[in-house]
Amino acid sequence: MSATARVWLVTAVAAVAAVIADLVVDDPVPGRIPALGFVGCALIILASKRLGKALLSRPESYYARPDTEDRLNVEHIHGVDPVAAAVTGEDEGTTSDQGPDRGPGQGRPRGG
Amino acid sequence: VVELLAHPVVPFLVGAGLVAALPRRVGAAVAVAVPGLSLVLLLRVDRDEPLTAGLHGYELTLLRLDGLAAPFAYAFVVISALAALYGATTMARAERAAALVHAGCGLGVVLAGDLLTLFVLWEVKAVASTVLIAVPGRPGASGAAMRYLYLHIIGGTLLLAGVLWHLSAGGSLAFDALGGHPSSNLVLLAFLLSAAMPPLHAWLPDAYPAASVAGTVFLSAFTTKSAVYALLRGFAGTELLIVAGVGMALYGVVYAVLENDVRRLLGYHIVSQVGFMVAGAGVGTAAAINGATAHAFAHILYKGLLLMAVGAVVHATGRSKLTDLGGLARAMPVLLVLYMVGALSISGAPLFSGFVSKELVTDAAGAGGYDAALWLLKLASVGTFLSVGLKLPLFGWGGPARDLPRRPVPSTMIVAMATVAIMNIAIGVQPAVLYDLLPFPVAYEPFAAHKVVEVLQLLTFTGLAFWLLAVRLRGEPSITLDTDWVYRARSQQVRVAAADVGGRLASAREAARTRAATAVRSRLAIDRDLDRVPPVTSMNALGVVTLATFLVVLAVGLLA
Repeated sequence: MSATARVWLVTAVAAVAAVIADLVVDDPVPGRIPALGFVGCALIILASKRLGKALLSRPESYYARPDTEDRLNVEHIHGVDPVAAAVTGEDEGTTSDQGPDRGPGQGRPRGG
Repeated sequence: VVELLAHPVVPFLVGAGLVAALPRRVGAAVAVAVPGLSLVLLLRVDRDEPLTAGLHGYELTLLRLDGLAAPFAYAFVVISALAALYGATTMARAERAAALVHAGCGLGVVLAGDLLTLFVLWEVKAVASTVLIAVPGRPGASGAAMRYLYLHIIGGTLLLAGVLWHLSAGGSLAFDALGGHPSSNLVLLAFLLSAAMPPLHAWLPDAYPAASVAGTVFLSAFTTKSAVYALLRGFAGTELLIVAGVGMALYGVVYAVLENDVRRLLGYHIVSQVGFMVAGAGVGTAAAINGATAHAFAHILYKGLLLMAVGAVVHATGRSKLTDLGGLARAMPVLLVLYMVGALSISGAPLFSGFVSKELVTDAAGAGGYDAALWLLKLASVGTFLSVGLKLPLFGWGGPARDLPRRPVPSTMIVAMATVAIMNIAIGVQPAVLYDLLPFPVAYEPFAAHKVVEVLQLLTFTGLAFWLLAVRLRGEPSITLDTDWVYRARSQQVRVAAADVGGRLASAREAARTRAATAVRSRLAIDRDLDRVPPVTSMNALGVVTLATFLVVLAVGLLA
């Protein structure tokens, strides 16, 4: 039996048990809460994911400065902030060592 | 003067000064002791004698501890002590001092009996929290802190404008039920901004995860919950709040499903849970106010626990994204157990704190005749268990073990988490502990058979649907656009344009000229680094924002 089939089987057994429990506690519409849980959960997952795909999802670098994209990834791996390190370094007069990829004006005195 | 010195906020402010001046270790002990002292003062407050002071002919009520304020005040001092203990070894001095000012002003807001005291503490709280976010200097923190500050300056301006308008229209300074006069709409808007109602909520998931792990625990407790208190005090029974609250509850759920960062995910579930409280304020009956208050109290405890537990994971591994985590169950079983106590509490599982508080709100909505709200809030509960109770632990702790970096978790963190966990269970097992604190007598039996059956069914069938669809929920390395796009994308375009101009300048001119251009542009603050504290000149943006807010206020005033 496939994993999916097993989940459906468990769900079916649980649904029967739930309806019996509802009858015991005199729920006006037996099975409504299990239905809300199951359908609601599936609906939330599928609708949210669809909304994300269609409209809301963006790459992680979306708000990052275009020229810091690769450095942000480096930071992510090593847990340090190379942008800060680079800016501080530049403030100390090492601009000429920064390489051609740095546009002007990326460093400025900290704290203004 | 003696009475003023015995104000429960005083220990926080004095303590903040001490923490800033004393060595770090001593400061850590002071920060844990301060809320204890404040609690002693709270318990000694004479509830029938508010503390008043005169100012230019206005009577200020600096301290009013009544049935509505008390549960919030107690929750605030308890979580302050435990958050300070949690951050005892990790927080820096300035950060800890800011946290105490933030906590103290949050406490002061719920104790304030007049609108002017409320406004002053409201603003100091916002500034202190900005410092709390920015000081640890995590990646992206300065930008998030400034955006947070701008939004709260707007909120504060709305609040001040509303209060002044209210006064000039002959209203009293006392902070009681507002409404009726159009000025109250401005105050309501300010409260809703602080309560993180979409579309004015994006500061919360933006800024809270940018703070340090202990800073986030502090932040999660005060701003939104003091706004809930203010809504309960000023706008109970405003039906619009039911729509706002239900919308918040579902909005947070949808974004949490899409979120990959664990602390942002929990941030969206602050929005969602505060929605329950705002809806309770909207229903406005005694039972609903009880429910919103109880849920705020429980929320402060379980959300504190959840953020502490994932914060400990972030502290230990240096990672906060579900796609980078996983397989931690064997390495960090204690954190998983503590996290699950918080997760079952927020999901409203029987014998945990959320069970005895959330149902008070939904029950009151049903009793008030708001059936649509009742069922939509139940749907939001499904989404809460789905994201916080199933998705986060499955992808954070579940799966095959991965080779993640490990730092030891300080024992102070574990002690703080264990204490909060015990409190959550204690409230869940013995709800009278919480119910006795509420503003009105509670006639509600949480452990009635049909309630327990209902919640167990809801959680079970949510779990079954999750089991079928879990594959689709695996985290993705992406972000989700939220309403902060409105003010973040614009500055992004400006930056891209500036970088473009800068690039052409660089290729065309020598370094000296470039340096001059750099100076000019840095002064104009066009292309300041996103992650640095901005130069003073960029505060012009703050001026523009404030001015624009005043213009909006003026326009509203002229139209009204």
